[in-house]
Amino acid sequence: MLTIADIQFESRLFSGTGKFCSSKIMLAAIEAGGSQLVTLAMKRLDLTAKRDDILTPLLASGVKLLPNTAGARNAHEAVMVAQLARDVLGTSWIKLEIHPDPKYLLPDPIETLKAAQQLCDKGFVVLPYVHADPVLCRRLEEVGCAAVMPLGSPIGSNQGLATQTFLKIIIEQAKVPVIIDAGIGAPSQAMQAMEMGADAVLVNTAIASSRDPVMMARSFAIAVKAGRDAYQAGLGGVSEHASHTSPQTPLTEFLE
Amino acid sequence: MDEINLMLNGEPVTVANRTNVQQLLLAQKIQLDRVAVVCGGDVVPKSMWSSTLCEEGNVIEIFGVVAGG
Repeated sequence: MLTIADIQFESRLFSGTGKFCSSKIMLAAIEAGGSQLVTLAMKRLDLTAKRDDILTPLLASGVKLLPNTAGARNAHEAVMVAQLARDVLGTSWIKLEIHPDPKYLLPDPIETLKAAQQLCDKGFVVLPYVHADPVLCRRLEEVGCAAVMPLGSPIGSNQGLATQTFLKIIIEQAKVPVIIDAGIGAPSQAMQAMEMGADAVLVNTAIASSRDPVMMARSFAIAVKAGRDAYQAGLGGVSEHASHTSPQTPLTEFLE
Repeated sequence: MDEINLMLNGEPVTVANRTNVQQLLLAQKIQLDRVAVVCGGDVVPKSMWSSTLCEEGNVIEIFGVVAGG
């Protein structure tokens, strides 16, 4: 079973709650996918608008909540958002994400490491969203992060595991769980991440933007499970040449 | 001074002098267990709301939880 900090997870599919066309569908998709860890964001309230309460049903569903620091442009803002999230949700778990550039949404490694250090020192359970940089992932582990969340490809792009070569190195050297986050666009890609030895995947857009999010969440759950099983079973080696799977004695040899 | 002026989430608000943060939230009909508060750039923890008085010119921001990835 997957353990992050001191919490155990049966499901290795983590879900985001953004981009769904309604809270009802979001909740149904999370239930169908069986995720036990779901992400949320913090936002300054528009006091004049009617607020859609997603928290009450999520709390009632029993999933563990992972607030993120999306919107933070630097370490200072990220630490503040983490404190706000802890104050509202009563959890010290935080998905640290600092991506100041609105076009590519790529995480700022320097601010992320700085914020991770500060948050770990303040007792937060920090799960940083980062580029698939093996050196950075080690540094984040050293400052006390509970897991690392390298990206497969840009957020919401559904491009899959564009960073595969580097994800493999991260998985090989990590002593904390590796959660592949961002860019996973299809169940086959989630399965591939799990076959490579990822500890979990975080999926949002691929489920939320599908035609049937509930069915897609279920498909992801099956793929993640299959990928994990395949990893544990141990994939056979890849060879450049053919290798026979049946007896090679010519069938008609006895006639000669 | 009977009243003080604040900026609340970008909007000017006038409240009675010696209004604390908790009273300010209640006056705005905000569900207390769903928000967090920043005053002048610092987080005001829930435990401090009833003992933190609003002051003239305070810039107060109220944050809530929304969907996200």
